Amino acid sequence: MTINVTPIPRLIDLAAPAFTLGTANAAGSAVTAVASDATLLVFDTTDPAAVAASAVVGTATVSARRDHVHPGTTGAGTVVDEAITRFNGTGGSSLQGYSSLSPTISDAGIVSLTSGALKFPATAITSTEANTLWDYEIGTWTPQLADNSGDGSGESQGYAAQVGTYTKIGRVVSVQGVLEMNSLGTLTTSEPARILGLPFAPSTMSNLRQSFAVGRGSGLNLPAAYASVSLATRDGISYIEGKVWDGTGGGSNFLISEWSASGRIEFAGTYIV
Amino acid sequence: MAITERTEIGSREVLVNGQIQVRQDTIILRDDLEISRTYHRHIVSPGDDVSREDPSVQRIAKVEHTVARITAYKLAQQPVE
Repeated sequence: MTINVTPIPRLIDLAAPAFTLGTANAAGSAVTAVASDATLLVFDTTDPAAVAASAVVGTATVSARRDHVHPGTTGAGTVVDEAITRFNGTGGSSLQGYSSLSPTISDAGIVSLTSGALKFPATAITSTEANTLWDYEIGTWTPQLADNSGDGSGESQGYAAQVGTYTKIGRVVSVQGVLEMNSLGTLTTSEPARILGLPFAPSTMSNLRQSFAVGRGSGLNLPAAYASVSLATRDGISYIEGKVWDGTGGGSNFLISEWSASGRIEFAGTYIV
Repeated sequence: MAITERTEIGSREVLVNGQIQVRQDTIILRDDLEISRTYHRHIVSPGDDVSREDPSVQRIAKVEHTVARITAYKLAQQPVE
């Protein structure tokens, strides 16, 4: 007669890794209800996705860890290191494949545009941060000539050319202008000439004058052969004033009469708002 | 395919001293779909004649260009050497 003896398995032989039960939990806590020497699934204060409560026998449902690394998605184009991920559509549930044209962010935080452009909102959101770029805009403006009345069109003045362009980057506005008259109308010739129409009001910083260069001129009626014209804005006013450098000690106001009925000035400058 | 153009006042900003910065947008549409937008700007200062301005700008000027603001703006224009 043969007697087969089957050893009784002991729990300690099967438990690798070893499991222990927590013994010092507060009521209602399950943080260490089960502990092991290998991490199987860890929940902390940041809720991961819910673990299914009714997985099929033989399967395991595992929630993603907070620090898991997504393998990326397969999409059209070439995979670009450090590319910014985009959503496909508005549902927010699908990531779009990378493109060789994608902007990138390096580990050092440098944003690079390998193609395309950087677009700012049409209505700028002003920032007073010294290192923040918050606006970019290009457009046109219409220079006009006025006397002290500040009326650029109501005094029968006639224009042969009015050209103005601007580029605004942050608080800096760069303007170019051409203004040529064919009639002074009823402008008061003894009054200083004003160029109206600036696209943005200059800064109101006290005593801040911002200058423009006059590149070319013609048809003017300046008081002396070597007199030159300079232009500037003044804090808080929205037009450009002129000076004629006609004296050894400085200049005098650039008058309507000195502009003349056929005068033309081409100018450019940069000012802050 | 229909190409149309229209203009609109795209932005009106009132500054502390009452100046109104006006942006007029010129919009090009192809079959009612915008394909281009360009900007033209000017400033309406306190005391300026606003009769040729867009009605929306006139309404703002009526409120913002008070006698006090017009006076202050004229003072700021006093000649300085």
